[in-house]
Amino acid sequence: MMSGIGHVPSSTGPENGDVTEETIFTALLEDSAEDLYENAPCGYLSTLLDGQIAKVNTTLLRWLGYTRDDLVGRRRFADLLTVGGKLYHETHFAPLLRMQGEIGGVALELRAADGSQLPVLVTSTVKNSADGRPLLIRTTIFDARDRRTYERELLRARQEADLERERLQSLVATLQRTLLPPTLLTVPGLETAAYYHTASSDQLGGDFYDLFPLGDGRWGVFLGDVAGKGPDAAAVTSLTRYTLRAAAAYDPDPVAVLGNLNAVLRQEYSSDDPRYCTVIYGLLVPDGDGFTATLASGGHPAALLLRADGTADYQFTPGGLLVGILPDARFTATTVRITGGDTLLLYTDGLTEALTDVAAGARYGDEALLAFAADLAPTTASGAIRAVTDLLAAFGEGVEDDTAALALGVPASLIQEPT
Amino acid sequence: MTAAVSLATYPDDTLPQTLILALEGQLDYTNAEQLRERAVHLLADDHRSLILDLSELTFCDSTGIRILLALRTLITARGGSISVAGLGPRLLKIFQVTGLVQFFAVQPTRADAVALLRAAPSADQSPSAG
Repeated sequence: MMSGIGHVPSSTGPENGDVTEETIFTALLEDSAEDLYENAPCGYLSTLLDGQIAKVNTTLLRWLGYTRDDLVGRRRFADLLTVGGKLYHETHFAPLLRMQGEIGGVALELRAADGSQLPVLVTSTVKNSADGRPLLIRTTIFDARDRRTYERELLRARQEADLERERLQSLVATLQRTLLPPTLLTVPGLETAAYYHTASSDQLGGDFYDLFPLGDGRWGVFLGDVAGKGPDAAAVTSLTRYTLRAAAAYDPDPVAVLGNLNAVLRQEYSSDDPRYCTVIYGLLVPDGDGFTATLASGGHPAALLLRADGTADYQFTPGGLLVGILPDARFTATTVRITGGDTLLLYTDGLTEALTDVAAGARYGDEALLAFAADLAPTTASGAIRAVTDLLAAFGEGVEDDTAALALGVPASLIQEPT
Repeated sequence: MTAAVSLATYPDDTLPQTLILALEGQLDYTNAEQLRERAVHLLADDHRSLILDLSELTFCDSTGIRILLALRTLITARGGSISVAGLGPRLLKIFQVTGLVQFFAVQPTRADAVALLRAAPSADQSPSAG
């Protein structure tokens, strides 16, 4: 059984009752043509070419709170617009309408009789005479309050999201600063410089470092990397930092310091959620023309010594375990003297693991870093950090992980100039 | 920008209680947790040994190391063993620097790791593991 609109009835047409209903519908439709114009769900407006209002429907009058006499023959369409709308109408709407003969879907604001504003979408067409001369402009106006509200909501939601992101980034930056010393303290007879790069602006990095006095002219220094990222890793970073300082005050021997940190990490974190970090810890003792540095490493990449004579070497501390992995982890120490013109460079693996060729997946590596250091030596702490900063900048996108570097240098001027 | 790591299983009929996984790609903080979940999902109750073939793993950051250690903890907690195979020079370096070599049985290749387990029947096949 089919019944379709536009289906021409066959000779076996509908019954009489249906014919009557059809007649009523047709009558209703014809009767409502004028009513449809007046009370359409949109505003209708006809103007002369200069914008003078010639005809306006009841819907629009109701929206604006005007009577027909207020507008017809007295106002131009542009007079109904807000100041901004007038300007837009003059500079864009009217010229485009003249050029194209029509313009559609333009968002404007109308000003009602009571001064309130009504956001609308305006479509205009030019009606031409039979010989093609423009006669008048027909305009339909749709109430765009819903749409405008929706757009405003969208915009607000986006602004809020942006704001949230900014807030998060600022919080992350603030927290990050609490995990690093604001400035490195001045160690007499030693030049120090540091660099810190966070790979992500909305995730806390896991790298950390610090330099602090231990009394008797001795100094403690450490640099490390907590496994993982985000708030949980940051909590470990914070605990690690304070534990290292407290442990050093208790017993400054580097092996003992790392042993204490290991015990604290094991105690603090259950075996369900173990936490690890790699750290290199150094005890600096002034010894006349320089310092004796005792270094111990817990699973951390070896420090680099850039000597005054232009050579460079890794200072290995073999056997040092990732801190937090075993109840009774063993750490070993190595001792290195730094005198005039020597620079000791501590760094995290963000540097050696940086991608030198993103497409090929090639990474920088220990050999390249050693060659880089040998090239650089002799240098100063600030010179080394500047070079590392430039190197990382050259890697650009290739630096995927957080990277920290700390350089300690004994100024060459403290000893006699080499001949 | 984010690294990708994929996981493949290589079941071995002679070692029903061994889960053999091959990791390929780059394991870092962007995908480590996902990898852990997938590996844990693959680990059945009766698995007593885990072999990780890392020959195609080109990168592993500190978060990745956490995940490898977490897998080790899982398998050793049930009295099992874990071995890693096919470490490239870079990964081997990381394992050496961090001391991880002491915590995993390091084998040159997956075949070596499998052969070793076959030769030690107590590690697998035994109906009642400790």
